[in-house]
Amino acid sequence: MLTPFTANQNSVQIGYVPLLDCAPLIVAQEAGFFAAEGLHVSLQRESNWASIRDKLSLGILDAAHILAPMVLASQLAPANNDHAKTFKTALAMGYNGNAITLSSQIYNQLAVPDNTFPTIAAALKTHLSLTNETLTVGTVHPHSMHTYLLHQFLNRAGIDMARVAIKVIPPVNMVEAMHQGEVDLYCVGEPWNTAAQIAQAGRIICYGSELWAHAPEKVLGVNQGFAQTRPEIHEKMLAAIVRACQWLECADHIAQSALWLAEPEYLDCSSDLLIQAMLGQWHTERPGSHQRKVFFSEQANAPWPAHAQWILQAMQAYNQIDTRKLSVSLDALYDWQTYQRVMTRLDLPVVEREHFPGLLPAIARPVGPG
Amino acid sequence: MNILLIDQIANRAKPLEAALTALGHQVVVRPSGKYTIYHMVETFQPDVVIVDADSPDRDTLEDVSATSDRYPRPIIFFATDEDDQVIRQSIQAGVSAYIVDGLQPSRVKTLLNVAISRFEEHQRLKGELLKTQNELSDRKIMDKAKGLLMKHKQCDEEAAFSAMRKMAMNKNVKLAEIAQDVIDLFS
Repeated sequence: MLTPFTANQNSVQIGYVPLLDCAPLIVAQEAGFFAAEGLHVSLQRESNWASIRDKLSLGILDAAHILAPMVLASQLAPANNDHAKTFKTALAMGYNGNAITLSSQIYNQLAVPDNTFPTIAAALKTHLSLTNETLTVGTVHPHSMHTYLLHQFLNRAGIDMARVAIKVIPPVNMVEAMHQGEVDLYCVGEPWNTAAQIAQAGRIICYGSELWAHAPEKVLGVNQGFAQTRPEIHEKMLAAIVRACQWLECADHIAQSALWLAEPEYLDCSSDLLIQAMLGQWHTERPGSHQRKVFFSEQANAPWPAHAQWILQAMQAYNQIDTRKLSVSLDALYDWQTYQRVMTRLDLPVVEREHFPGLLPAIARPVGPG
Repeated sequence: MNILLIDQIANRAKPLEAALTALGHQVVVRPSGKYTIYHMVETFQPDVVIVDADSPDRDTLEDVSATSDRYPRPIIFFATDEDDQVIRQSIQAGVSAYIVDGLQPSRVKTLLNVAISRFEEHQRLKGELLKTQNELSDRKIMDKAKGLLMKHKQCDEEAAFSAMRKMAMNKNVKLAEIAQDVIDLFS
């Protein structure tokens, strides 16, 4: 169902990057959750995260699907000013969803007896010790969970960071870059890992959830001016998105959501590819029960303060930004009160803000030679 | 200033390159297809990068700017209230810019305005092209519908045309839509 867009006081502009994890926005639109809240939402597809940040900062977009670390990074930008400070979040869009894919060329050389993390990690380390080549590693943005998960992965595999070059490659170009031998290993959201397997360019060797079972990923960023002047619309929008997240966790809804997402105006890809990428939530080809994406359960929509703290520590550890310069409180950026009101309004349980599920992984420090 | 221009649309990049060069700047246009942004920024050392806001390569540029203090950073981080208008305009036109630390955004305004006008001009031409294409295809549909009506209703061209025009007026829709209905009905 398409809601015709008319500019009125209930109209909202929401941006997204065409990835599987923008699904809650598309479902909220197509299944009518936005309309049920009386909202007229215009979804705007963007090609990159930088563009989302700029438009969110200036209020050209009211809200957007955005990398969780970007909310914090924008506050800490060098020579920052009011423009960069004008967005926050009151809602996470789920846990995980990323995977690490190794190029088939290297994977085949490893000749591993099984596909478990310790086996592959040890084989990769040995492989590197036999060559002088740099391992080119792809991520999607410097300030992304993808970058931090890669650090966790390389650390756990015992790989010397001096042998690694991390590069940002747009997700749409990842598979091709791997095919061309321009990147050896990458961390990206779906469907770009499944797509590499189908194209036989790469093999998924680790799910993000194996590194951190409840890792933050995307959040819904909102322009501060929008949140201040239209609090009621903000909460209605969040309520609709939470409903969409809940809807998405039902296995019976995979095919329908894949069909919606595959539409030319959204992800513009094959619905088969999306179904395969989503089925990983219920069936996995890897030992153990590793979920690819969690949209709703275990308070997956909570803006956990502990997650924000962890991200700040990671930024500091990898010398990205001096996080000691953060001048606003985390409460203002990770708005728990609004989240709590939305959950209460939907009759959904809210736990204490300290009670995030699982454990926070220790921040991986770069491994030296040896 | 050294300006790096990143735009996949060659017939937009070329005139912009010429205009910026005419202002006395050193301009390098990034060739398409290769992941060479890291290398280009390192060797050319641009003061300003002007990039198509819709280019997926922008996030690579974000990484480059995070690598070293010497490299250009998103202009949005430096802009003050007085720059608001030109930045907003540029983003709406699809132009984004990165500038080196220490360079005042006001000094980049001229460049941005040149880029904005080129992007808007391209947008206008694209719109016109689309309109012409639509008109052409409308005409083809009309001709086909007229032919079908003449055959099935055994009337002349003028009668076929006035029948369709009457239907369009009665239903208050475009003539091309009626023509499409006629085609759907008879073929």
